[in-house]
This record gives sequence, C-alpha cells and structure tokens, in this order.
Amino acid sequence: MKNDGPPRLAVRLLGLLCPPHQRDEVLGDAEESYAVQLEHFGPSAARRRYWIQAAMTPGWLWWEEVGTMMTMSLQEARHAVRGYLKTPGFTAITVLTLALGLGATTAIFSVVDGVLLESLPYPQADRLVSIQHDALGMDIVGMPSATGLHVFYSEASRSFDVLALYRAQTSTLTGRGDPRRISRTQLTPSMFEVLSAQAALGRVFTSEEGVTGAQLVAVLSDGFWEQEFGRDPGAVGQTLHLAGTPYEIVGVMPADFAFPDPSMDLWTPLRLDPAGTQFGGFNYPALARLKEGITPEAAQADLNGLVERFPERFPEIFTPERIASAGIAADVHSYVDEIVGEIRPVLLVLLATVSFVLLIACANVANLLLVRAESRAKEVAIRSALGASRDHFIARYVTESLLLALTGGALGLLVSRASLDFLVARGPRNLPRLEQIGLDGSVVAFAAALTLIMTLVFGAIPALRNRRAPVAEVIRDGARGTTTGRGGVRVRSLLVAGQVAFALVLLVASGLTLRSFWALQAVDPGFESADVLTFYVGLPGTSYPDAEARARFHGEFLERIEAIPGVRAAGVVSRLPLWGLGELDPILVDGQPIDPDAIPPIVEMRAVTPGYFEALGIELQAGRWLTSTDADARTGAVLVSRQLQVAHFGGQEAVGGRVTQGLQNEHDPWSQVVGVVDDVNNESLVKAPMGTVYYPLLMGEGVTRDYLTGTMAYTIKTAVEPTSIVPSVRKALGDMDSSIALADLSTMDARVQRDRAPMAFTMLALAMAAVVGLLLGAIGLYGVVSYVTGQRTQEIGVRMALGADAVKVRGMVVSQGMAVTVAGLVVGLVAAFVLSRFMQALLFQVEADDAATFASVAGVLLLVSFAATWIPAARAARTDPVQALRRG
Amino acid sequence: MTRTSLGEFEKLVMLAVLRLGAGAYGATIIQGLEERTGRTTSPGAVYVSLRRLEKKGMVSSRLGDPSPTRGGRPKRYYAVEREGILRLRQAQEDWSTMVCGLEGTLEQTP
Repeated sequence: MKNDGPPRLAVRLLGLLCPPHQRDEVLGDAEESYAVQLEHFGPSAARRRYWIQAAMTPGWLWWEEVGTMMTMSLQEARHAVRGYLKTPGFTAITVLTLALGLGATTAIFSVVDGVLLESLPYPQADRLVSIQHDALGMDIVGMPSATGLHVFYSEASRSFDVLALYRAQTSTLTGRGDPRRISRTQLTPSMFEVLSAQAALGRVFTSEEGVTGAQLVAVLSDGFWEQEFGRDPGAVGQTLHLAGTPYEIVGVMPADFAFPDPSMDLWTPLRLDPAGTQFGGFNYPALARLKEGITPEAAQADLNGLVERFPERFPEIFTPERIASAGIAADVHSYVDEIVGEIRPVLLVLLATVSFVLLIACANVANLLLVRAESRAKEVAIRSALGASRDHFIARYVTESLLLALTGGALGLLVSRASLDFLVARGPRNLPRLEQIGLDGSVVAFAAALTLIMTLVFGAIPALRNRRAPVAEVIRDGARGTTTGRGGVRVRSLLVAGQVAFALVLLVASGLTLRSFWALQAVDPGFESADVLTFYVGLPGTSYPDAEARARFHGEFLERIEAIPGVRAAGVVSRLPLWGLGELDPILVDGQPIDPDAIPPIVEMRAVTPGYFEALGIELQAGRWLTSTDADARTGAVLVSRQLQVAHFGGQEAVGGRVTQGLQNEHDPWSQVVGVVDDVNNESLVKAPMGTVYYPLLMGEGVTRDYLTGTMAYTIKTAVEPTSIVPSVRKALGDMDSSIALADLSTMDARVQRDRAPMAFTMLALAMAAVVGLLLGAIGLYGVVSYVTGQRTQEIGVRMALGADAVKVRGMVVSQGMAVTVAGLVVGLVAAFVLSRFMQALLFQVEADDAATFASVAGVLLLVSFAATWIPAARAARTDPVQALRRG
Repeated sequence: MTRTSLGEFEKLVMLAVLRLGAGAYGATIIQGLEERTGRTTSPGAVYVSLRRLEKKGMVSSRLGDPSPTRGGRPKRYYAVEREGILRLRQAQEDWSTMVCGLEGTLEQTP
C-alpha cells in the first residue's frame, strides 16, 4: 500500500496531545513541512522528522499554556486580595462561614470515621460475630452465652470455624510491691484463633490450658509488660500472683491487641469441663469466627435449630414448653456492630446534623458570592464588550473562590482541631476507640475534597451567570440602578428559604434532645448521690474462703470507716447503682401460683449491709430495715423493692410474705420479706428500675446466693468533701489486710454524671450545631433582605416622595423577608417531622413529634428572622427621598 | 504597559514573518528560519514565540481558509504589528550603537 502522508500514528498522537485551540494550525503546518521534507530528503528522514515534532511540540505548547494560566492567576489573586480587603465584612463572613461549616463537618467526620468506619484491628473482622440469646417471652434481649452452651455449640454447629467465650473482670495483683487492682480477661484458648491473634513474645494458650484443673498461665498486654517488666523478654517463664494464686507467664501480646478493650493488663484461660454437661449461667459473652461464605443470618438459623435440641441436651433445665413460652432464640450479629451499636444512632444523627450545617454554610457562601457577582455584573459586561476573554473571567472567578476556600479551609482545620479536642474530651466513655481518634490523613483528604468541590461550585456560579448575561441589558439595567434581575432574587430567596428549613430541622433536633436531657435531670434515681464516696473491694478466695470470713472482713472494715471523722454512714452493696444490672434469677412468691410450663419472672438480687440504704438515702416504704442481727443470726430476712411488690405480689403487701429464687422444682429455702424499699435506678437513669431482692451478707440457712458477696462496693456518706477521707480509708484497709486494694474509686455524683454523659454529649453537639445553623440562617436572611432593599433605594425614595410613610416602607421590607422565612419554616417543619423519628432512640420521655418543641422552635426562628429583617427595614424607612433619587 | 523584553529567538521569528509578508504561516516561518540560519528549528519553540509576541501585541494572527494541500486544515497567518517593527528597529539601533567602534575587534578574532 502506498502512503504519501506522514505516519498515521504520529499524526494521531500529535492531534491528541496538542492544546485543542492550536490543533488545526499545528497539524496543518506539520503535514506541509512533511511534504517539503519528503521532496528534499526522502521518506525516512521526513518520517523521522515528523515523529520528533509530534513528540516535542505538545510539550512546548502546554508549557506555555500553564505558564500563561499561572501568570494570569497570580495577577488575579493579587487583584482578588485587594478586592477582598476593600470589602472586609463580606470577606470575614464568607471565610468564617466556610471555616465553621468545614471545621464542624470534618470534626464529626473524624469521630464517625474513627468509630464507625475504621475496621477492627483483627484480620477479616467481618467474619467475627457475637452470639447472644433473647428470651422475648420474658422481655430479655442480649443475654450472653453459657459454658455448657459453648461446648454444645462447638460440637454441633456447622457455621463457625471456631467459637470462644470470655469474661472481663478485675483482679488483685499481689507480690509485686503494694497490691493493686488490674484488669484481666478470662478467655477460652480458642479466642486467639477467633481473633487471629498471635503473641508478640512467647505463645498464646494451648487448648489443654483451657481445661478444668490445668496449670494456671497468663499472657501479658504490651503495656503491662512495659510497666511491670520494663519490656524484659525474661518475663516469659516468670510467675505472677493474682490474689495470691500463682500464674506462669507464657507470652506477651502485641501493642495493638486490645481485647475486649484497651484497659486490659493480662489474659488468663477460662478453664471449662470439656464434657460440658452442666449448662452454667448466661454469664459469658461469646464470639465466633464464621466459616468462609456463611452469613450471620445463616449461622443464626443454624443455632436456632440447636436451641430446639436444648431439652435433650440439658433436660434438667429446659423443656420444649419452657423454650416456647420464654421465646428463647439465638442472636448472631457482627461484632463490629456490637461494639459501635449503642453509639451508632448518636453519631449518625451528629453526622446528619453537621451535614445540615455544611449545607447551610454552602447556601450562605453561594448567596454571598451571587450578590457579589451581581453587583459586578455591569463591570464584567462592559469589559467583555470591550473584548476581555471568557478564559479571563473564569480564571478570575476560580482564583477568587479558590482564595476564599483556601482561607476558609485553613481556618476550618483549626476549628476542626479545636472541636475534635472538645468532642473527645466530652465524649461518652463508651465511645469505642475514642482515644484513637485524631485528624488523620483521610479526614484531611475529606476536607480537601470538600474545599475543592466548594471552590468549583462557587467559582462556576458567577462565571456561568455572567457569561450568559446579555451585555446591553445589563448595562441598561445598571443605568436604571437595579442591577439585579428577578431571577437572581428568586434564586437567592430559595437559598435562604432552604437555610431556614435546615436551621429549623436542627433546632427541632436540638430542642428534642434538650427536653430529653431535662427529663433525665428530673429522674429521681431513688438515691441521693451528694457527698458519697464509693469504691470496690474484692476479697481473694484463698484468704477469705467463705461468706462468714467475707462478712467478718466487711463488718470490721465498715466499723473502722465509721470511726473516721466526717463519716456519717457507711455500707456495702454487691453492685453500685448505675453500674448495670446485677445477678438475675427467677423469683418465686409464696402463695402466688405460677404456670408450671412458664419460666418464672426474673428479678435482680443484691447483697447489702444495713448502712448501704442509709448512706444513699434510700427510703423504707413499709416494714423494717435489715439489722445486723439478721445477718449474724442468719434469720433469712430480706428486703424487696417496691416494683417487685407491685409486680409479683398480686396486689398484696410484701411484708410478711415469703420469696425465694430458683426454679419451682429446684429452689432455695424461703426468705422472709421484712421490708419494702424505694426503687433505685440500678441499671441506668434511662432504664426503668427492675424488681430487686436485697439479701444480708449472711443469708438464711441453705440460701445459695453467697457468691454475691465476692466483690463488694462501699458507699460512704460524709459530712466533709468525700474524697478527703480517702487516705484514712486506705490506712484503715492497710491496717487490716495489706494485700487488698481499693478499686474504681469515685464519688456517686461522678457516677451519675457519667451515666448522663452520652445524652449530655449529644445535647451539647446538637445545640452547637443548631446555634451555628440559626446564626448562619439569620446572616443569610439579613444579607438578602438588606441587599435587595439597598438595590431598591431609588424605588423606596420614589414611594416616600409620593407619600408612603416609614411604617409602610418598614412593613413592606419586613413582609418580604418574612415571606421567605415562612416558606422555609413550612418546609422545615415537614422535614423535621419526618426526620426526627430517626432520633427516637436518643430521646428520653419525649416523643419525636413533640408539639411543644416544634411550636417553640418555630417561634424562636420567627423571632430571629424578624430581627434579621427589621434592621434593613428600619434602614430603608430612614431613606431620604431626595438623597435616594439623586443617587440614581 | 511595562516594556517587556524581547528574546533573541523572538526577534528572529519576527524577522522571518516580515520577510515572508502575506505568506507567513507556521510551516513557511519554520522553513524560512531553517534556510536562513542553517539550523534545525523546533516548531514548538516557534509556536510559543509567536504566541508570546502576539500577547505582547507585536504580532497579530488570523485564521485562513482550510486548504486541501494540508489535510484540509486551515493556516494561521501572522503579520508583524507597528509595535513589533518599532521594537525591531530599536533593537537594531541598540545593536549598532553597541557594536560601533568594535568592528575591528570583532573581525580580528579568528
């Protein structure tokens, strides 16, 4: 095939790489040169020459192109800075708006990214599931697993690679200086396989070490290893004493192993009977690793098949009827979901909230830039009529908004940093991975992307608007003194109405949370938290083997505490209020018939000394208090809570009645109810109190609840600042037994605060967002109304010259602004009505469609809007007609 | 407007355009430069110079009609503006003034 032309590929390449507006010229010239070369030097030289040209020329052209743009942009930037300095109000408002919007959004995004999006530090964490059980027939959800169940599931289920149990607890470290409380987790050796975790030094547990009676071993956390052994590899093989019992150290975990939370000091094996014939209690959280390709739903169906086989495996506890009436079912769900579960709705609401703030901020900035673009429309029209190029204007607008966005973005990072510190400091304790949250790369990338998008959008709006502007019209309009067309005002009114609507949604959300918080403050927890010191004391089984020994210790320690000056009352309880539910067990009431096939109702049980009620100011409703004689003589007396009397005594007085715990065919001896006490919010302020039985430390003969008294909480009411007596308490303890430590020392007030923290946090964040939203909305409204009014100065002057008075003018301007507000208000109310139901889970004793909140929020918004329009309206009413007309 | 400087190559390009008259467009300018100077010329450098000269107002250009001899692509014709001619003249005068009295030195050096 004969081919006279230049090499096709080179032509294509040159065409592709040239800047579009020079392509024709360059290609044409190149082809012509090729023909000349061909004639003089022959085809191969001509071809070579063409190739060189195709490779080199585009580089030259683009280099020039970029240089031109940069020079132009630099000029424009200088120009823009001068312009911004001339209008400091506009500049400050825009930059601040951007900074607040970007800052708040990136801060919340950081939290969401750290808590919700970041995956767990375990390989294939998506295959990790938590196994729980519900008993819907008894209103119980989320029960942990049991040892017998674990063995049964491990044998019979087909959905898991491996299953494991664990239980976190505190222990006393002894034999290394002063005894102290440390955090440890007992876990089945299989847990390391479930989590795919390896020891950094030494080894993890062997499966033999998880069998009852095996030698006691321990694996240390990286932090504990550093703290206690100064990272000495020789630690492996040494012996550690927990409450006097020796454990051999077999390994150290890597620094990022933080199971189940970062506070862990060490891990010891949970030793089980491999035959697993005993069911055990629902006391151990269970984790498992799903087989490849198995979904949590499939695994749950698999386990529910096994639940039906409970009666054949554990005949002494389950009958098919009981399982049916209790509605027992397995619940298999992602472990990640479990960790972030409670906090997810809070974070999602916060994320939605800041997105709204960002949208309001965007609308505001867009509005400000539109106003600016319109006020310069005349200049632009004239300049383009005189031949200024389109490129020139695009370069100008993009540079201008880039400058704004960069400044706003930089300030926004500062705002973000500050709000993040604030959020992390104020965040609820249970916010997972809170301590790991920081402004990391992905967050900065997010901010950069946001800034870029904003820049392009803001740059584009004025450039596109002005490009379409018909020159003659703009100039003529300008001559009339109203540079703004009807369309412009409509766009900006829409933007403002949108801002009002978003601000209203924010206000409703924050109002609902505020009311919830008030309701929470008003909750009577059933006890008085003021001036109460609390701490836990765990007694090692080696030196305090039975209930008598433990009761003796607590009795003597309480006596010594009561002797400290400033102490008004002191008592112990097996679990402090607001510390979650304690031990649960079925209750039987003498004389109250129960359905033999139903599992009896569940109540909570606590062991106390009489001083506990006095220290916390819990009131007696009927009967008498427990006395020291009840314990010493093992009279079998108990107290019950009011709720228990109401729910389980069939309308009868509880005092004088008898209760016991266990199952109908297998229960403890009866205990005599001697008194009824007020309900206490034992689980949490937001959870209704549950029926409670209070046992003395020494219970009636044959009552098997002694295990309640292993670790006891002290409650000490003081006449002085509660923490001031801590040294005396420590000394009293040291005098009695120097191997025991105080754990989790805190005042009761602080515990109440901590219980309120999650809602206080949500309320604070939402209130901040709502205030910013309202402020930005008001600024937007003020900006548009005053701008439009300013543009109409001439018209207003004419009206006033024709006899309109100040009141009429003011009314005209205000009504114009309020029309926009009301439109936004209506849309906002509807949106808030729809959206607020998503936050029902965060609310407390307030309905998501609470009319009072909606009404008062709308009122606030109307007031603020009125103020924002009043200022320009008043200014307009002061217009001097002569001045106004002359200015035109 | 500030007095922008003119590069040596830019002057050569302008002279080539002047010499070609009405027939000055990319391909002929490049050929003209190569023939006169006897050096291979990079087309990219020529285009960049022309663009800069145009921005400085010394050269103007207009797009011609598409011509069949070059794949149907139009030529862009260039012409030197008054400002360009003034600057060339100035450069020529500067050159003569500076060279005056040095002719001997310049020619004696082998």
